Amino acid sequence: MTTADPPEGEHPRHARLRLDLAWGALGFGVGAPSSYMFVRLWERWRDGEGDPGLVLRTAHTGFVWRSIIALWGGLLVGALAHTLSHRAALRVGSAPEVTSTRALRGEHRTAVLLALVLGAVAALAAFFP
Amino acid sequence: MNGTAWLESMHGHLGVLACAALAHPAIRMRKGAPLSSGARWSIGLTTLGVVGAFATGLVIYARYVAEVRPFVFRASAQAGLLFETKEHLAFLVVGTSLGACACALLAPREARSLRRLASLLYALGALACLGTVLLGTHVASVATFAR
Repeated sequence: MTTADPPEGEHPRHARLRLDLAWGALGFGVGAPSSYMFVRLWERWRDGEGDPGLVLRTAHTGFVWRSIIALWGGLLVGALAHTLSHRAALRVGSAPEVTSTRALRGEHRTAVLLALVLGAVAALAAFFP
Repeated sequence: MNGTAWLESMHGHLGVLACAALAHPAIRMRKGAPLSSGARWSIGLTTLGVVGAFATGLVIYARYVAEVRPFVFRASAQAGLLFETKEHLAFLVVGTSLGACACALLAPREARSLRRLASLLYALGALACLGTVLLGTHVASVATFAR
C-alpha cells in the first residue's frame, strides 16, 4: 500500500449515511405497526365494538387502507429517526464510529422502549379483533 | 384443487416457514456482531419469505372475503373475528421484518447496537408470526377454499 492509496474500510461519509439510513429503517419497523394499531384503535373508538354481522357485510377495504396509512406513518417515523440521527452526528461532529457510539448512548433505554411499544401493539392486536 | 386453493395452501406453508426463519436472524444478531455474507443472505431470504407469505395472502384476500369468510362466520363467529386479529398480527410481522432487514443490512460494521435492536425487532416479528400461524391454522380448520 502506498501513501496515495485510500485507507482500508468504508469511507466515513458512507458509514455515516448508512448509520442514518439504518436508524430510519428501525424507525419504520417500529412506526409502521404502531401506526397500524393507532388507526385500528381509532376505528374501534369511533365505531364501537366489532359486530360479526357488520364485519361480514363490509367490502373489507378497511385492512388495505389501514395498511397504507400505517406504511405512510412508518415512513414518517423513519424519516424522523433518520433526521434525528443525522442531527446527532452534526452536533457531535466526529468520526462515524464515535458518533455512532454517542448516538447510541441510550441504546438500552431505546431497546426497552421499543419492546414496550411493540409489546403493547401485539397485545392490542390480540385483544381488538 | 383450483389455483386459489393452491395459493391459500402456499400462503399457509410460507407463513410457517417464515415463522421458523424469523427466529434465525433474531438469534444470530443478538450480540450485534458484523454480518457475514451468509448472514446477509439469510436475512434477505427470511424477509423475502415473510413478504411472500403476506403477498400470497393479499392475492387471495378479495376472493377469501367473498367466498370463504361467510362460511367461517356461519360456523363460528369467534373464528371469524380471530381472522381479523390474524390480519393485524400479519401486518405487525411484515412491518417489523422489513424495518429490521433494512436496519441490519444498512448498519455499518461498528454499529453493533443497531444490529441488536434489529434482532429484537426480528424476535418480536417471530412471536407475532407464531401467533399469526396459530390463528391461521385455527381459522383454516373451520373453512378454506377447499371447504
